[in-house]
Amino acid sequence: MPETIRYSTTVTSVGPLVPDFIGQGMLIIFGDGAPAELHDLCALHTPDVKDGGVRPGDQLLLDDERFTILSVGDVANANLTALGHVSFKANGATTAQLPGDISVEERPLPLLHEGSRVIIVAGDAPN
Amino acid sequence: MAEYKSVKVSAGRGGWGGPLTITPTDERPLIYSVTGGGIHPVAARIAELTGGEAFDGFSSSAKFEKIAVAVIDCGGTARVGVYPMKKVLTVDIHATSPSGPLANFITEDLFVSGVGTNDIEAV
Repeated sequence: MPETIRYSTTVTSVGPLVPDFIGQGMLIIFGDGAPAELHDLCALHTPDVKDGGVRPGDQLLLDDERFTILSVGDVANANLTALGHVSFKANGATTAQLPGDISVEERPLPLLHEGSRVIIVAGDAPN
Repeated sequence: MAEYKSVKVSAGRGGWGGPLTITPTDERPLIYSVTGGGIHPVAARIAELTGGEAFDGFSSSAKFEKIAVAVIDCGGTARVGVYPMKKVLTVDIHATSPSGPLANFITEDLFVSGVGTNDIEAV
C-alpha cells in the first residue's frame, strides 16, 4: 500500500544560523515567502504537498533519514499549512514543549542543503 | 505629517510580558503583521486606534527601523525572538513565554503574548 504523504517539500536555501540550531537538535523551516529577517534562522522551502494533519506516529524524512514523530504542538499543523513553518525538535518530547513544535526522537538531525527533501508520511493507522 | 495616538497592549489569558505602550511615529509608522493570510485582526485594531499603517510582512518587506510593532502568531521559537532581538516591540497572538535560542532577548518591556483584540486599549 502506498504511504500517505501529509507534507512534502524541497529546500531552496539554508540560513547561516541553521547549522547552530541543528547542533541544538532543532530545525526551523519556513515557506520561501517568509520575511527576510527570518531567512538566517530557517531552511526555506517550496512545498508540493501541504495537506497537513500531522500527528504522533507519523514519520519525518529528512533526505535519507527517518524519524518518528512523537508529539505535535497545538498550532504546528496550522503554521505548516498556512506558512510552511514549523520547528522540528529532536528532543524525544511526547508532549510538545511549545505550540509550534513537532518533536521527534532524540538523535542528531542531518544538516540540510539546497535541494534536500523534507517529507512527512502518515504512520500505520491502527485497525 | 500624520497624527498618531498611543495604545496599551496587555497580556491576554495565559500570556506573558507587557503591557506595552505603542505609539507609531513618522519614522516608525508600520504595524507589521507577520502572521500569514493578510493583516491579523490584532494588527488591524492597533492600526485603527493608533493611526499607524497596517503592513503585511508576507507580501512585501520592510526595514526594522520602520516598524512600530510586530504582530506575530508564533508558536514559540523563531519569530518570538527575532523582533525583540532587534529591539522591535512584539505582540504574539499565542500565549508564549520566553523560550528557544533567542529567549534572552525576549523581555517584558519588548514583548507581550496571548493578545486578542480585547487586550488593546486607547490611552
